[in-house]
Amino acid sequence: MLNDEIEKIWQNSNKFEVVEFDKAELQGELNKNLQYFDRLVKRRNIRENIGAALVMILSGAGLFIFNSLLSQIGMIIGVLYGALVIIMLWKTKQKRPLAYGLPTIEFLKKYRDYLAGERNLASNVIYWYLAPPYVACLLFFIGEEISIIHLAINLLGILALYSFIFFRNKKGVKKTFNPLIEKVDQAISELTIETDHI
Amino acid sequence: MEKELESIFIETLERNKDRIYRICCSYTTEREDPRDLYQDVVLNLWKSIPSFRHESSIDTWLYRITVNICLRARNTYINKNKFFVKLESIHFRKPEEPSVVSEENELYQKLFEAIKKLDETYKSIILLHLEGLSHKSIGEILCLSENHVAVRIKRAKSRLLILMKS
Repeated sequence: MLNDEIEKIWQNSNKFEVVEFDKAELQGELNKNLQYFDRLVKRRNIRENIGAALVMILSGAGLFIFNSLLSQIGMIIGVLYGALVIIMLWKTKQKRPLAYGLPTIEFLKKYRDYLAGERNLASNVIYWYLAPPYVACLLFFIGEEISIIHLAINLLGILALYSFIFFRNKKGVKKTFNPLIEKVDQAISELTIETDHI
Repeated sequence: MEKELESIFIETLERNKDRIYRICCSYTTEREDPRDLYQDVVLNLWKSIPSFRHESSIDTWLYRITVNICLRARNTYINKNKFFVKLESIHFRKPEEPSVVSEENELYQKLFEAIKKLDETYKSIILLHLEGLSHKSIGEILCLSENHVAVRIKRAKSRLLILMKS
């Protein structure tokens, strides 16, 4: 029936709105927006790193304040933890798929890697984000010989917060990342498998 | 050099603006606004200018980025509404007079609905084909051989016809 008419119908359609812009005005607005987004990204990066840097500074200072060996080990873990968070955030940013100019299959593969990286970050949150400060706190509390009741209250409080973060991330991995990665994988295989058959 | 490229880009965008918008419309669901996606595409195109290496024509490059951004938009976990930029200088005007007769309008509606139902890769290929791009250009955009593009177009058209009849 329509085989040859499809293009004609599509191109002659009046269903779509017509796009209009003033070239000079658009150029100015795009430059302005780009600068705005650059600033936004820089501020976000600074905000993210400030938290980790503060942990490093406070833990570093704690090394000289507290005398107990266990507390000092806790502080060293704190310093290492701050550095680890900064590295993990930096590594994730490196994987962001900004290269939109790549051919689509390559772009999709890079995008898949990026999503897989984000998923790993979320599913391993207990190891790189939650466990180190928990251990550091535990060592600090024992080192400072706080009472068993205070120790239990503090650790249970932290544990409750961590459980919330852990299960929220686990849900995100299951409900968001896995289906998305499956979809991208499917798109990649649709393009590549049929390429191999020809 | 970059200023020169920026002017070429604006000219290319002007030439292809409606085609890009049609592609965006085909990638948005009823709950999404194609105008948001269009503006996101334009901003990302602008951001990507420094990466243009003259390895393909600027038109091909522009479509490649458009398809990639549309595919990313369909497969993202980020709350898109939070990040979409509003470009005040871009206006969307409803067409004033119908340029096609009602029978064609009906066919068009069926075609549009059928395209939306295609899976994303078929959709990319058929949209680029409907916008008049050569097999070679489509191949360059998607990283496929011309033969492969031809076969995929044929299959996509058969699927479209089945979907339009159903």
